Amino acid sequence: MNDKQLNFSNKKIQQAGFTLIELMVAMVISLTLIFACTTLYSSLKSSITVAQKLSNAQESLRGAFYLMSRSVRQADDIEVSGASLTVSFATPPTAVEIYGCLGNLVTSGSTDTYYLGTSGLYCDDGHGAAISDQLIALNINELILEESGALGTTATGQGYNGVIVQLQIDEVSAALGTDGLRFNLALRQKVLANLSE
Amino acid sequence: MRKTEKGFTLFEVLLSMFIAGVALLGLALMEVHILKSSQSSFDYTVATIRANSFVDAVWMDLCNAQSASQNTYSKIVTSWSDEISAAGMTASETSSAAERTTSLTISWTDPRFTNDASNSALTLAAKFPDSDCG
Repeated sequence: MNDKQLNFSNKKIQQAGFTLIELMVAMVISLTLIFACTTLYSSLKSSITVAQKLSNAQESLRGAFYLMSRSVRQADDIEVSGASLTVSFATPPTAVEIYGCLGNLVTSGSTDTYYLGTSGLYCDDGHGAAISDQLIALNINELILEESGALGTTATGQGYNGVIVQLQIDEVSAALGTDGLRFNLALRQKVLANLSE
Repeated sequence: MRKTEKGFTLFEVLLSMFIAGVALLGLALMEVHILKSSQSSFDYTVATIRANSFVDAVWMDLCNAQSASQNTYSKIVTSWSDEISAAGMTASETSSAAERTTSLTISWTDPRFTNDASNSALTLAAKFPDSDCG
């Protein structure tokens, strides 16, 4: 103890630190690195948000199109009222299983009702069970339906052979244009039945 | 008594900065790749739905579309390709066997990656039943 105290008071300890230049250079280098990381992180975050929106919208479109087209193509008749589409089925042919929008077996007189609800597109297959009225596609904020027959005609009565569906998804409205995505669905079953008559 | 200090050499610092730079560039490339593939995947879905829309438009008016005396089929094609052009994609249609089979091609370009032509076209082949009504 005594020795050390003696040393301290008598001899000057040699200290070596960084010079100002070294410190500045080190700070500039580390600031550059931190800045690069921050920029990259924020742009990565925003592009992941965009990718997420695209994939949500894609899932909604795919789900809505798949379920609606399956129902309408196998249906016997459709009825449009406002933003709600009711698809009704005739008796399925023997040994042929037809499934409704929620995966329940279709029997004679079954209906699938597609309508726009608070969170998106819903389907009600009228089975009355626990899973009879379900959200099938998220984020759809506009559904426009129109019965359709021959090109350019909005057929009334029995003249229609299908329906024109127009879907708008808010998050990707730029990618889909102001009208949203518009597609035709034909009542293929009805068309074939009419042909064979 | 002199303390011996040992720090990094300049070469070591430069090397580690180089490695960090490569890692950051890699992340940036990954970001571009994420955007590109999710946009391309979305466009594929939209194009598939649009191509199916044509097939169902023909189904809706099958009799007239297959009749040789009418030009219903070409009207359907025009109206369909106009709709697709309006949405910023390009459509082409080739039918054969008197409008019983068709091949549809939809192509598009991603405004964010204009120099990349791959992954931007979809082809759908479809057959229609014979309506037998002239």
